[in-house]
Amino acid sequence: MTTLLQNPLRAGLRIDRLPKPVIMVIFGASGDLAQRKLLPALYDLARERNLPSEFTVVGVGRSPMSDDQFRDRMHEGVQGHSRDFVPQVWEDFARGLFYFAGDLNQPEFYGELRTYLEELDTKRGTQGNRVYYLSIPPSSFPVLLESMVTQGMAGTPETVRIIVEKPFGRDLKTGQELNAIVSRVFHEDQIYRIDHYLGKETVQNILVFRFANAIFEPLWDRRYLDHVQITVAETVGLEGRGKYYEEAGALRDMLQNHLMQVLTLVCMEPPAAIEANTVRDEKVKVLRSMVVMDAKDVALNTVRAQYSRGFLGGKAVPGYREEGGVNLESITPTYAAVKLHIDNWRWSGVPIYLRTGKRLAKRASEVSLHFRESPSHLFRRYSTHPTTDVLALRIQPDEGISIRFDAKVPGPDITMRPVNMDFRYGTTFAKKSPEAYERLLLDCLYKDQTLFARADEVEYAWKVVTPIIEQWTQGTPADLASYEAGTWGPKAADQLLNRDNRHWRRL
Amino acid sequence: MTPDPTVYAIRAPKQVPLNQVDQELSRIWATQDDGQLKTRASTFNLIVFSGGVALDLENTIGAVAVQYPCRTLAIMDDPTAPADTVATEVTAYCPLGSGGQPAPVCCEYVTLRATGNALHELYTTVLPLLIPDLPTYLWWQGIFMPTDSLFSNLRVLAERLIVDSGTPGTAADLTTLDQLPTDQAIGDLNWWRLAPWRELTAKAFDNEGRLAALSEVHRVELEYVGPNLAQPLLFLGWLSSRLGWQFQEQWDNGAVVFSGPQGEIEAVWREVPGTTVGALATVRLLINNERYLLIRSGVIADCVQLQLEEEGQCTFEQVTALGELRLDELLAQELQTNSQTDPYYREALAMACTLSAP
Repeated sequence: MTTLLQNPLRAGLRIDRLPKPVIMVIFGASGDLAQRKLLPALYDLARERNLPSEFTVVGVGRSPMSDDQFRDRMHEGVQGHSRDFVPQVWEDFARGLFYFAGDLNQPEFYGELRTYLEELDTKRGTQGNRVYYLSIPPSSFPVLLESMVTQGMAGTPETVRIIVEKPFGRDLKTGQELNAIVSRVFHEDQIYRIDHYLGKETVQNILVFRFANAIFEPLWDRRYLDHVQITVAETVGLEGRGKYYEEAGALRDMLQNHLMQVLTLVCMEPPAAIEANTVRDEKVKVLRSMVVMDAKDVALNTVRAQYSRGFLGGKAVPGYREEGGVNLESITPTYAAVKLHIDNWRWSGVPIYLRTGKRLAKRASEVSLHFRESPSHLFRRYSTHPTTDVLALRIQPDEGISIRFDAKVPGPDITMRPVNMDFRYGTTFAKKSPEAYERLLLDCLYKDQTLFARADEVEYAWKVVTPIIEQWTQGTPADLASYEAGTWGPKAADQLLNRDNRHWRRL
Repeated sequence: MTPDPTVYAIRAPKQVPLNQVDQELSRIWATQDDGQLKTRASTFNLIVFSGGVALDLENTIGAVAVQYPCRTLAIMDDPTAPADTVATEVTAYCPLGSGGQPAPVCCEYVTLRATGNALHELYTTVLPLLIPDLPTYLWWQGIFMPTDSLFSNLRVLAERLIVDSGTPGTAADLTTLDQLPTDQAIGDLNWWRLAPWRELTAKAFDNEGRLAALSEVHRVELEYVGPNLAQPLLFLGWLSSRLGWQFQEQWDNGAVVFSGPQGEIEAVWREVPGTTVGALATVRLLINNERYLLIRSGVIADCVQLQLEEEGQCTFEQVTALGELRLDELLAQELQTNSQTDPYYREALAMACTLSAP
């Protein structure tokens, strides 16, 4: 879908190719995502001259709105959320924005939409190319997808792609059902399951760090590593999404997708090439090697908890059950800690601890690799703070990499202290990273699926997580631990590691 | 010196003997007690030569410190410097981030002032001051003299020579640049100023339907703000070399003629009034009798506007911001590029030299 170097004037330019002219149809365009994320990202791509001039957006939604009203609404979002707002460039970009109102649950609507898009093809020169962005609940998928088939809108991988937002199901069964529904209409090459975490520079840097440097990879296995911790901690509460979160909880909202994606990148073998399927093959191998827990394992190796009222940033915040849209007796976990095992040559015997939660002490996402103790006890009695070496990959904030090791304190005696060697993106590269959606939307326009989840990847991740969901669902409210908002989670999570003579890294 | 207002000096520049530069820099980093973390990260060495013309130190400091942590060695041809010796000053600059707070990306800044022999032999002074095992770039801001011993010695030290063929007064001469060895990596900041123009021109022909029209271009008209001709010449050099046009002759009226796959192409350029010296103002490609492509700046503030006119109607329009043309942004783009020399720049440069002295 790219215009390569057929145009001799493109050779050597910063952007030596552009996506082909295309209409991006955003279903659910009156929602927050379009205004706060998608349009600002598309505008920034246009401002940096990454989009063809024919690029067109059609917002589709139930609310009646004129093109101009839609543009005004998106203008607010772009002005507030883009990286650099240039009014003149916005004017130019906004000429390619349109709105088409209708009821997505009515099959006849799709015939009208098809005709409208064909008219736009003539007007805008978009040549029948489409990207459909489904920013709508999965319950609307069946009518939409079936109508697309009826109306001949599914095209081929060359001309049509579809972007699907998470959640990709609620468990293994629904995940498989959703994949089946989508794949009845679209070929896997056309399906882009978007997880914005994969668009983050620091997540992508995990692959560069591991496979572009020779010094780390030899240490990256069970011979040298004691365990791995992956933390995605949020300080925010529900932000008005109580109804959604009640259904999702921490496992579905974060762990099954964001944390598992990071885990696979940290644990995968080197791919044969940086290509969509070779990278995803390796990620799937990790998921397939993960030990699926039985009921006893779930009781032993997982912790779930819900936040109660507390103080964050000097302000009182309500408990989970006091949030809008939440059942007063809800047992939805807002915190999850899980100990996982990967049964393969590289990782056997190295537990992977994942934790994620809302209203925690600090917003921080990090992967830390904890090394085994040195085999010799030569210096143990000199250490003021006995520690093991740690390699930490910080995803946010303060993106960077640090290594903790012991050093001798200057002086006549042998005294040791742990020291940190710290690389921070912010102190080395002043250039601002593009937003995750910019990278992912551009990749989709270029037909590059490397940073998008494949069907089997989603299903294998569900296979690991679903037994935990099932056990947690069968539990009683008494199984649910509690933690005060603004802390680092429940004591039970600390005990999960303390039992193994380990502790969570203080972030 | 008065640095760019967007940066601040961690400590006022301090004169130190040459052999104490490293110790002084270590002292600067060791005594930070303002609670702000400043990591002594470095990504490259940058040698900046400012010759005996009007200097732009403020921009130099701002341009470097705002973008990258690095060690900058600023060499100044200073007639007031003591004879046969090098006066050295050391400081470090950090940019001010949003809200006026210091950002943690800082730049070590060593100023070396010398004149006469001390200046010409300065490269041996520079050698031990470079951070080992990091790329070194030479940004030559002064008058461009390739036979100068300081230039030829420093050039060998550096992985890439950075010049600016568009700077008023100190413009690197295109012909001299073209005569540098082909393995000399060159980065011309003026080439980056042309990037929006080149990209917009290319964009007009990305469409498969319009691609064929490229071979129908029969006349090129350029307007620029004089007197520096480098931009129109490089643009025309790029366009003609990319499209395989061969230079034929220059007419008495100044127009040049190329032969292209579909026949002759005539190109003219003329000076127009304006404030940005050396800047391209208008590019007009006449495609056939009814069609022309017009790219111009100045119509929409801070933007370049492209219009394709066909049979009296505008059939294609695009607006691009000219937001990346500040000195620090141009330098950042140059330092970010991986390739040593853009081969298309060398092509364009060779043709530009042919056009400037047919």
